[in-house]
Amino acid sequence: MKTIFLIDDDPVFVYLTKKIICSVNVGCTIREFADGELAIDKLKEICGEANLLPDIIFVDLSMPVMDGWEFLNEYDRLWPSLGKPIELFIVSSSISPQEVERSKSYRAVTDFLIKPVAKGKIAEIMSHV
Amino acid sequence: MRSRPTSVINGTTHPLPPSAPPADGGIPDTASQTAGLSGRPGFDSLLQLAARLADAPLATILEPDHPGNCLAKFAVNIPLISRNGRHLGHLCLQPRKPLDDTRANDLRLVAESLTQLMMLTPDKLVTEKLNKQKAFYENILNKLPTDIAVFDAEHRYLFVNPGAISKEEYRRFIIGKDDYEYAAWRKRDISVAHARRAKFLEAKNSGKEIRWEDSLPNAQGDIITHLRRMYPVYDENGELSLVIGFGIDITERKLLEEKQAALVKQLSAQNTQLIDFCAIVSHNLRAPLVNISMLVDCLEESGDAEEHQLLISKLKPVIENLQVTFNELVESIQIRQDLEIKTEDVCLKECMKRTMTGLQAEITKLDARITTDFEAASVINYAPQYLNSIFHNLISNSLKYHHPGRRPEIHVSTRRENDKTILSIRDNGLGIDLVKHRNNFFKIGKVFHRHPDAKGFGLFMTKTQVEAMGGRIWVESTPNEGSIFYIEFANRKRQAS
Repeated sequence: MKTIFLIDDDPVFVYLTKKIICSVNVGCTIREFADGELAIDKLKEICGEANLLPDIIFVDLSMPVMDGWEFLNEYDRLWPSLGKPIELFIVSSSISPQEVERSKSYRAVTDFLIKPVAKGKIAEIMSHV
Repeated sequence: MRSRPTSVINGTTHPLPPSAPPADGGIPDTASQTAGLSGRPGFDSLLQLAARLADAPLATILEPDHPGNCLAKFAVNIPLISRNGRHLGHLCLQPRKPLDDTRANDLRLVAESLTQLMMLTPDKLVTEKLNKQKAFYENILNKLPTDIAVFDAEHRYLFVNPGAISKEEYRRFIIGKDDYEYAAWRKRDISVAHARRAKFLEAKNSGKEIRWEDSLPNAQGDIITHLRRMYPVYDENGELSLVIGFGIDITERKLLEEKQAALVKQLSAQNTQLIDFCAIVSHNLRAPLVNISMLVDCLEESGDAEEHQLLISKLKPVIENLQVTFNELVESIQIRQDLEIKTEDVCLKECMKRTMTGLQAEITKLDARITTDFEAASVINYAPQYLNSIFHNLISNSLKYHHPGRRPEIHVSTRRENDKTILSIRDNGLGIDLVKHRNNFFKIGKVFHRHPDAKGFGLFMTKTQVEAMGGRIWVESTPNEGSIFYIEFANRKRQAS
């Protein structure tokens, strides 16, 4: 069973994404975090515990307290010590090419997805992870 | 027929036999004549001697650079050449009969004596020439549209042109004196002398040219900016002989530069705003649109009535959020485009009272203690609706992000700094980690605390309003201790006058 971290402060988007993930893959655990800091705290807490760590992280860029970029700064330092291969996807409503370019400077980022994310794309990610 | 010229070979003179007298005649028959040298006993007697030796009615000395003039009237020209080869002039004679060798030789000896005499006596010709040259160069220096001053090694004036000091009386006074004596004489502020001495010593001690700009009021009270240069000049022994200073009036260029700099600043600010605006549109408008389209997709796919209801209930707040964001954006654009903002004298106490009334419910609920001190500045000229909004936003922020462990205390005060008024709003609330949020503090949609009402519009709007009025906003904060927001108001009344 796969574990997915969904880091986004927008309840509507979280609700819809969960709905889509469940519709393509029934057997998974989804954990929600309303901002980057909550997610980083959790990751630090479960560092090294492969069964608790996620397989996939979806992270928004625009969030309160700790936004997506700040989260990525922390996560880039953290992920070599986590002890588990994790695929991280930025999921943003931003269509700015600068932000896509900037995301490439983070080693931990697998891909930059622009909202709305098609059901097919989520199915593809879920199937190969 | 013209006279044959005298030749000079290796510094020796060879007077040539005379030819027939010129047809124009008119030559005085006795005594000697000199061009500008008569009246000097030594010269006169030597010339008389020369005239007698040559049996000529006249002996004269003509300027070295007028041999043609001399040849027209005289048959014998003996160049007067000093030992170092300087051509001093010609001894010119018209003998009544050809000269024999003895007389020619005697004349040559007389010419040598004349040469020596001319070397010893600063002759009028040379002096005149030097004066002419001096006048020529001084004229150039005086007519140059720059200001020029030349100093000795002790910073005393050796020369100053009218570009630097226009009144001749002042120019005459300053020669041989320094800036301190000049300032005392003119009863002027000594600080100028201090500044000039410092620059002089900088040039003297560094041994290099220095450059700087200075702005001083002229006699009419207009500020004139000069680009100044000062450099030391050394003699052949390496001793400092002069320090030359000159300045060019660059006031016009300076004004243009300032205008351009202001324009560049304005443009880059507008560009930043444009980039911000694109980011806002991308993040804050596109996000709710994406949600709406996704919800509608779900609605279309779902056949369940209960789920329809749920999806529709989720649609509503998204649309509301979109509306709020949209309105805020429109308002912020209106503020930025509002070039003719109406301002009036606003009483800060009154403004505070209105804010407190608006926030009364929260103040009572939290038992907040709010104090003010508007002693330093109680009235400012501002757009009243902006000031109300600024007060409301900042004070409601202080209330919203109060520390749960203590009674909220907010202190609002003003102080004067130069000709500007600074408003500060200090609280003992949650504070903000400025190290983390330094770069995006006043951005739209930026939220620092997990608070249900936090939308991230307040500070963005406040900043927009403050900047539209030409002011600045900044913050100091320590997490868990509190924040102080500062707003510097540009003095609008002064700008208008």
